[in-house]
Amino acid sequence: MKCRQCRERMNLYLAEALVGNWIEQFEQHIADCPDCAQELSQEQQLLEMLHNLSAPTPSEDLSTRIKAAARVQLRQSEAQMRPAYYLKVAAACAVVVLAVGVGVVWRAPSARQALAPPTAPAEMTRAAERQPAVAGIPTLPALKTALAKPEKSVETSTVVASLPHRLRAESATPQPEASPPALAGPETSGVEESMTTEPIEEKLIGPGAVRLARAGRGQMMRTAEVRSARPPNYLVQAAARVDSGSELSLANTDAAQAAQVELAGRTLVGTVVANAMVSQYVREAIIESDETMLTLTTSAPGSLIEVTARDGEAQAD
Amino acid sequence: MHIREADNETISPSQVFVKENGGGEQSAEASTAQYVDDSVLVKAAQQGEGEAFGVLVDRYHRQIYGLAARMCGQEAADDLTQDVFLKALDALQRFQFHGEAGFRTWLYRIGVNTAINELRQRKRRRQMMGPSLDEPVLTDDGPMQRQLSDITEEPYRLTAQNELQQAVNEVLEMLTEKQRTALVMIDLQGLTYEDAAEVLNCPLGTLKSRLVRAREAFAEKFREHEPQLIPDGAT
Repeated sequence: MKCRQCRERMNLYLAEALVGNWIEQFEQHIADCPDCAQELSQEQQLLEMLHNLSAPTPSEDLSTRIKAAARVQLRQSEAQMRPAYYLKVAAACAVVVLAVGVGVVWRAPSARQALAPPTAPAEMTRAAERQPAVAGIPTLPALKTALAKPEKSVETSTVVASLPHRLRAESATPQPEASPPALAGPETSGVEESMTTEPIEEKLIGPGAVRLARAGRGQMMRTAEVRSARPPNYLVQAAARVDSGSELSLANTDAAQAAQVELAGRTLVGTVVANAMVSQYVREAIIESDETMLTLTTSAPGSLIEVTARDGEAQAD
Repeated sequence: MHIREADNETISPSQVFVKENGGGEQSAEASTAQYVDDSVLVKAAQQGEGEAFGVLVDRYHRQIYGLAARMCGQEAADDLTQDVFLKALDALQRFQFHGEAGFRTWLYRIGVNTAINELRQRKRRRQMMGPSLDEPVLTDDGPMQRQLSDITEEPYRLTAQNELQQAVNEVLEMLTEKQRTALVMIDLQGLTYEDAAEVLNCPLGTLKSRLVRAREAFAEKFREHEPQLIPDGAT
């Protein structure tokens, strides 16, 4: 091995990345060449200096502060989950009560007579299906529908993140439209809308920056972050953290702009939904890592970004 | 990671938390168990034991702080560390132990991603707003602060260790994001190659290759900008 080759491989050797018979050749050359041996020693000393550097020390109360913040987050998360939980329980109870009630009525001879003549079961069913809803008893097809199709929209959540009015008013950039449009997700249920239109936290995180944070169903945390800058380069960012494996769609205002959404290197869904009323665009919509932090960047104030997260089947590795 | 099994497997996590948290009351069981495995704490935290998460915070906040400080500077490290743990708490229900991939590795991954996000946001802000007056100016003699430190607020003389620390941080800032991450995790935070590869979700070979380039770049820039701090014999 020549000195040049030895020096090229010095850091490979130190990183245990040298393979095969290069190791033997390298060590042989170091044993024979004092110059290269000295250079290797210098590299080793520089590394030792790094290894021996004392670790930065946090303030003594950092741990306490983190734990306090965690408690607050847990409380907020529980408060957000509670309405959805009760709604689910109420819906389940309603279905059970309905089913039991119908069962009781169905078994009662008088009710059976009222609903269908004493014929063969198939005929009875067909007869019952023909019966109109009377005296508060739903028709059989309606019951079948109610029992067979649980509300799927319960698993869907949508958040609309928009600039706070205060900041919008302070912006020196002309507004593209008088008022931002309401971007309604196609699968948004009324329940979800009522959950997501009230921010649970609005916190100033620095000059001109506001963070809206909300913990939603399935422990989703979404933030909309607004940073003021000199016009016309007004930067608006909204970030949404979603469950890994979630299916994402992004809605913004210019259909011409493609958004790429990647989850752990795997493209899932990336859509930009057109909205004719405001002309902004998604500059960047990339989940930067498998931590599933989604960052949206738009170009103008008055931005309205909609992030729809839905439980999906794809699982991140 | 060197983890010793708890001496008494029947101890519930909450009985041991008191001890690790430094609380006043210590159960007899707690005194026999010196260390509760992360997996026990994580499971307890997933079941709603707030104290279990507190123990994990106590256990790892220094490491995450070190990572954040070395990646993004000490002034931002407190907030970033808190962000990392809040993100971890938010995602805890989805965390599962897979083989050797432990909680620490997972936490580091969140830490690295948070730090990289912070660096990218800073870069965007710089692009939008121009250079900050607080940022050091790059001169032929290396990075130089625009404003002199207020020596009345600081110890008169920085210790040699602090000076070295500051110099290392300044050179780290000159590295690329990937180089800095690899160097910080392995040479400064002391992660094994395997753990670091797991954190970065990349093959071992890729990690080593990044590390080699990072060390070369670091050595070159450190010798160029901080020759007076090179250890004797390493010039």
